[in-house]
Amino acid sequence: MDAIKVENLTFSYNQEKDVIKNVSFSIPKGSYTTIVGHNGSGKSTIAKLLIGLLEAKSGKIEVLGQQLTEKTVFDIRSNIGIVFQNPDNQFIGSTVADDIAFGLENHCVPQEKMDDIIQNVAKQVHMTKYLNSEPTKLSGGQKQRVAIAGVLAIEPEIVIFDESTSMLDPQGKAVINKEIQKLHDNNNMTVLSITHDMEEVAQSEHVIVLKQGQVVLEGSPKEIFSSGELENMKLHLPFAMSFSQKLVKEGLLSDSRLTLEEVVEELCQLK
Amino acid sequence: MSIKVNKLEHIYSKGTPFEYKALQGIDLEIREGKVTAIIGETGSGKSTLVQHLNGLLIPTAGELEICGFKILPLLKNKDIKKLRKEVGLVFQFPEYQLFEETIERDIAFGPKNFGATEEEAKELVKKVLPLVGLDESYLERSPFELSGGQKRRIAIAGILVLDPKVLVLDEPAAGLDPKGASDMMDLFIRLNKEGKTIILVSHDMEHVMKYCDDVVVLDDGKVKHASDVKTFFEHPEWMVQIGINPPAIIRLKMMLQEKGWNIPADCLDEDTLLEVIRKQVKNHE
Repeated sequence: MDAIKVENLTFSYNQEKDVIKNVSFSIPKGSYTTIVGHNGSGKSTIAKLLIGLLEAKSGKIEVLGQQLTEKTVFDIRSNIGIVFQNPDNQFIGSTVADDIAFGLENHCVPQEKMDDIIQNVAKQVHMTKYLNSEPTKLSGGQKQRVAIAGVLAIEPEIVIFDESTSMLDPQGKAVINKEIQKLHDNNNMTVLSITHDMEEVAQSEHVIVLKQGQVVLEGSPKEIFSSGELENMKLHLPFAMSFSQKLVKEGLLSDSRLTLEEVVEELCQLK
Repeated sequence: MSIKVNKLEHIYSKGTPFEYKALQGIDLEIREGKVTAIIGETGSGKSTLVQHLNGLLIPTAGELEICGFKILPLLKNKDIKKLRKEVGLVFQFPEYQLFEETIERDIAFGPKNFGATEEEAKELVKKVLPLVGLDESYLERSPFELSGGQKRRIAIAGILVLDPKVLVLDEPAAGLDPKGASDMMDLFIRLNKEGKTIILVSHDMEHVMKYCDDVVVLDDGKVKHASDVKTFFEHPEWMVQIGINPPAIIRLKMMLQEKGWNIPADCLDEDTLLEVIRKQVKNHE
């Protein structure tokens, strides 16, 4: 079954210019999909449409087999967790534990079960030490980990990351990318991540490329990176990919590689 | 003239239970006309150091020489007001500090503060906009209806309009998308070519490698390393020691070295690395 199915979706903010133009795609349950494209390509608009914050002009959205309508929107939202871009805009509690508890209260989880859940999710994102800290005093990467813990606590089937690492430094990005990967591998969640970070795209299973509100390309990271389309759009390839393409040209590698580990492994066999 | 920092110390909340020694004896020379990166972990003293460069903070001990000014402990604010015109300091996420109704008025705020007339200030604003890649059509617009990257350009224009000799930027590319970030870095390189000394605090080693001339590593309020960029990247252990991820090409090099490949320290660009690999692959012509 598809976790998310979008058919002929069109949307405009001001009735004049469509910012999403007849977009269709589907995201299988349990998959890890990334959406890439320039600012203004419609990426975040799609995320807002999927959780019913914006209403489509035409087209259809189905989440876990249920069509998104005014009646089903709350039901659907209970199955989707979302982590936003700016870590500072998503805190409500005065401590990390309170903040995670807020989502649980909203989902009517009984008080006596909360402590265990909070401990458990904080452990998963390595934030147990900080449960009594003020969220505002944490680093950007730590804040996003708290936001992820909050999402994990309500056990949604789908998690959307809307440029969740774009305000973090490279260290913070790497940490959150690992958390996202773990979320997908260990918790079997469907992950949809809107991102600029090609290192993250490389670790996903399925990539959707948006350009001016339209899907221009869809496929595995390798297919997308080898297509030449990203270079045309002036988006960078991950270093492992661009360097291994050079190695292929030199006849040193048989095929391009997504990660440095793979490049090193294959080179070592030639030595 | 280069910037000289001598035995600089800074203690926050001295004499209180919250006393904290953020800088503990910094000795440093920053070359004029170069792009210098200041790196280090959170809490290593980067922000405290750069706030001394335009006298926003005054040393607790030690001294700085910058643009003909000597900054010593106990110096009064009025003595260094002119320094603020010579050294422009751009904080992290400067777009949060925009406040005027129009872009023209926001940028004109600085020059007016330094005594320019309304007319003079308007002329200066017109001249500075192209420097940040924007044109006069923006003058009457609200700064708040622009994209994040454009807002940041306006905030930087508000500093550039004072025509500082030295531009100090705290994480100028943070939070921008990759294209916005490289456009921003290109802007600083252009300003540097026009003669401005650029000092930037950065966490992004790819940027440091591509754009900077010199690197200063701070650790626990002290200078741990200070060198030109080439020497710096020849010592990836300096990055690892302070928990910073080296650029991808350096990571690849380190991984290969670990597996017994012979990669010389000064091999820092893709073509050289490609050549080194080619020579070591068995039976390769």
